[in-house]
Amino acid sequence: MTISPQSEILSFLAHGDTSLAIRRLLDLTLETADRQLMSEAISISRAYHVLPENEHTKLSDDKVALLSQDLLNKIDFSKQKNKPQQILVTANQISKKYSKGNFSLKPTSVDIESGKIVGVVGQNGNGKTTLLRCIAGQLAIDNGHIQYSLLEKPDHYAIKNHIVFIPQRIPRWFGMLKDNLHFSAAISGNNGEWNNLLVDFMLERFQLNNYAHLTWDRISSGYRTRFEIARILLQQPKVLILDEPLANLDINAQQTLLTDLRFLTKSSYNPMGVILTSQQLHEVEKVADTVMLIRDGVCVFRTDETTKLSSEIFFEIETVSERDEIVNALRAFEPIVKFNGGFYTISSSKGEMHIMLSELLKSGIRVTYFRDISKSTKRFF
Amino acid sequence: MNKRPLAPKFLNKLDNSLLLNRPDTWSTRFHLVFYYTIIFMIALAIICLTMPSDAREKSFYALWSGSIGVLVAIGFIVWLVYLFRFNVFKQYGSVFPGDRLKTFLLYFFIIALLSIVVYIPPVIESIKADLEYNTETIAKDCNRINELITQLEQDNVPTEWQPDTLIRTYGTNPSVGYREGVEYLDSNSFRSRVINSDSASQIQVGVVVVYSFFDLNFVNDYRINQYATYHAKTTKQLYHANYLNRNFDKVACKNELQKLLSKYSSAQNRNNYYYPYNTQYNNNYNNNSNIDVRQNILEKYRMYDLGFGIENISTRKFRLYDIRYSDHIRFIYYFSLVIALLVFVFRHSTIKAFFLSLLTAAVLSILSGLFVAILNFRETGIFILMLLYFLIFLLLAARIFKSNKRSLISGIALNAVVLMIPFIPIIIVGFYYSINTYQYYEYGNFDYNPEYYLQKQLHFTIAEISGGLILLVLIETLFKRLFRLWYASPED
Repeated sequence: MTISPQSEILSFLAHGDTSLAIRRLLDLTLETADRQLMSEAISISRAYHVLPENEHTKLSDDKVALLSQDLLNKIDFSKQKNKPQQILVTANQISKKYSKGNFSLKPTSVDIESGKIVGVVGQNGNGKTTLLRCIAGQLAIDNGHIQYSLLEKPDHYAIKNHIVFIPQRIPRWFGMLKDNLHFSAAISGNNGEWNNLLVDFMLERFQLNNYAHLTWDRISSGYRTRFEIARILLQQPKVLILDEPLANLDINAQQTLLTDLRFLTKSSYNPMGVILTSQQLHEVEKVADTVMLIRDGVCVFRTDETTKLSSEIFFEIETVSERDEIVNALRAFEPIVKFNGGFYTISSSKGEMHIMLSELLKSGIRVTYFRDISKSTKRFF
Repeated sequence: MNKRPLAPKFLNKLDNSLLLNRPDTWSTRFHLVFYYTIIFMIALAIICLTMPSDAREKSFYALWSGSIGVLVAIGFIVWLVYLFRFNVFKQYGSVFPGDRLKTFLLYFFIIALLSIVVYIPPVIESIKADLEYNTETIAKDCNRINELITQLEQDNVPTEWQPDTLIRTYGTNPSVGYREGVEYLDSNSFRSRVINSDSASQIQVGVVVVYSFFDLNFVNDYRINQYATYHAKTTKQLYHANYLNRNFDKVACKNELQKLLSKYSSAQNRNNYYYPYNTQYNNNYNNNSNIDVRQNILEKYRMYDLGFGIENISTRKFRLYDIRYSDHIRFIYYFSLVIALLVFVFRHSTIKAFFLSLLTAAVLSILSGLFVAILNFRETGIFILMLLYFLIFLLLAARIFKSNKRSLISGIALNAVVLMIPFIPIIIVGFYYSINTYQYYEYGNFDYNPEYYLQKQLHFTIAEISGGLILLVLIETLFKRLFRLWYASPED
C-alpha cells in the first residue's frame, strides 16, 4: 500500500519525527516549484533548526505541526504527477584495462533509470570506482557501448553536464560555501531570485544554513560531503554518481543521506538516476533498487537476479557461544559455520531460517544479533 | 553583510547580481579588479598630487613606478588566485555564445588596466611641473639670465673675436687645394655655419671667414626652445643689445639675477660629477683661457645648480610631450595580450598540459637557438622554423576532432596554437620582408627608400591588428570547440 506524501508527513509529525517531516515538506514544495510555498517551507525549517544559543526562539513541535498542516492544505496534490521512469544511461558490456597496471574491468552491463538507485559493492581495488568513472565519461572504455538516452549525439562536455560524479575525496572548495552554491545553481541556468530560493532550499534541505557563511577549512568532512551533494543537486544532473559517499559520515548522517537520496531521486521536480559505491552493504541494500557486487573486475551478483541464486540460506548471528556449540545445535541442518570478525555466518541448504534460529535459542545460545543475508551481497564476502 | 573592505553597497549588489545571473563574468572578478584598481589609481593620484615635490630636483618616478609595479604584481597574483576558485568551463556549466570571447576580453582589460597604474606617478609629476612652470616664462627667464650676466660680466668676458675659415666643397673633392686649419664643409653645413655665426666675411666665392664671440648663452635649454614660441637671444643679439650697452643699474641687475637664480636653481645637484648640458658651450669659442673665464662666471653665479634645476623641470614638464605613445600602447597591448592568453589557456586546459606547454615552448626555444647558431640561419630561416612549429602544432591539435580520448600531446599542441596565433600574421609578414630585403639588396638598392619602409611599416601594423582580430574570431569559433572537446574527453 502506498502512503500519500501528506499522510507520511502527518505520521512523522505525530510520532515526533519533526525534522524528517520538515525535510519531506521541503521536498513536496520543491515538486510544486511554487516559490511562495517553497519560501514558507524554508521559513518553517529555519524557525525549527535554530542554533543552540537561540533555542528560546525555536518553533515547538506543535507549532511546526500546525504550520505544516496549513502548508499541506495549500498544496494542490492533484497537479503533482510522477514523471514516467526512463532509462538514462545504458552501459552495455563495457570493459576497461589500464595501460599501466594489471587490473581490468571485465565486460559489465548496467542500466541507470530515473528514480532508481543502483548500489555497487565490493572489496577495495575490485573495480567499483573504475566502473563509475567509465559511466561518468572520465575514463575511456576499451570495449562495449554507453548510451545516454536523453542526449542526442552528445560530446563529452554535454555528457559531463548531464552526469555528475562525486569522488570519494571531494576537491576543495574555495571562498564562501554559499557563493559556491549560488555559482553552481547559476551555471545550470538557475538565475536571479530563483537561484536564491533554490540555494536557501538546499541549505535547509541538508540543514547547512548555519554553515553557509563559512569556508571549506572550517567544516567537518561529513559536512563537506553534504555541501558537495547540495551543490551537485543545484546543478540538476540527470544522473548522480557517488563514490563512497558514506565514507566520511557518522551512522546517523549515513542514514539521513541515504533516505534523502531515496526521496530526491524520486522527486518529480528533477527525477534522477543514482549509482553509488559503498562498503556499507546493509545500508546500501536498504535504499538501492539494485545492488551489484563486483569482484576482480567482474559483476558476480546483482540483487535483481536473485532467481539465479541457489536456494541455500545464509544468516549471520552474533553470540558469545563457541562455534562447536552452534554446530551441535544445528547439526540436523548440516550447517557451514564461519567465524567472520565477531559474527558467525551460517549457511545451509537443508533448513529454514526461522526453524534454525529457533533451534539455536532452544539450545541456550544467546543470540544478540541476527540478520538474514540469503539475498544479500553480504553472503559473498 | 559586507564581504570586502572598502566595498560600497552598489559593488556588493553588482557582485551578487553577477553571481546569480552571469556566473561566467562574475568568475573573472572583473568588477572587483576594476573597482579596486580605480580606487587605487585615484588614491595614488591624490598622493602624487598632494605630496610635496620640487620640480627643480631630480625625479624619483622610476622608484615610485617600480614600487607601484611590485604592488600591482601582488594584486595580479591575488587576482590569479581568485581565478582558480570558480570556473564555469571546468565545472561543465552552460556556456553561451560569446562567453569565451567575453571572458578573454575581460582578462585582457584587467591586465591592461593593471599595467596603466605604473604610469600614474610620472604622469602626475609631469602635469604638476607643467602647471607650476610655464614654458614661455622659462624661456624668457633663461634669456633674461643671459642678458643680466652679459651686462654684469661686461668687463670680464674676453673681447677678441675668434676667426674660423670655412671652405665649401662640391662632392667629395674640394675645388680649392687643401689648407691647414681650414674647415671643409658641404654646402648645407657651410650655409648653416655662416648664418649662425656671430659675424662673417667672404674672402671669395665658397671661402668665408666666420667670427665667434665669447659664448654669452650661459644657460640655454634646447627643449624649452623647442616648445616655447619665445625665441631667446643668440650671442650675437646679446652682444649688440646687452654687451655693448653700458648704461644699466648694476645693483638692480644683481638683485633681479639673484631672484631668477633662486627661482630655478636645484639644491641637490651641487656635488654632481657632470655639468648640465644646458650650461655647456654652443659655439667654437673654446680655447683654454676662455674656458676658464666661462668656468669662473658659471661658478660665480652657481650656474650649474641653475642648469640642473632647469634640466629637471624640462625633463618633468615635457615627458608627456616627448613620449612615443605608440611604443607604450604597443607595450601595454602585447603585455596584456600575452598574459591574457596565458590566463585563458590555463582556464581551459589541465594544469599538467598548461605547464608542459610552457616547458615545450622553453625547450623549443633552446633547440631553435642551437639550430640557428649551428646552421647559421638568417632571418628567413628563423621565420620558416616558427611557421613549421605552428603547422606541426596545428596538425596535432586537429587530431582532437577525431580522438575519443584526452591526449596530453594534443592538449599541449592546442595550447601552443592558441598562444602563437596572434603572432602568425607578423611572422608571415616578417618572412615576406626577409626574402624581399635580400632581393632588394641584391639589385644594389642600398639607399634609404622611405616609400619601401613606410609600406613595410604599414604591413607590419596590419599584421599586428589582424593577428589580434584572428585570435578573437578563432576563440569563439574554433578554439572554444577544441577546448570543449579536448578537456571533457575521457582519459586513458
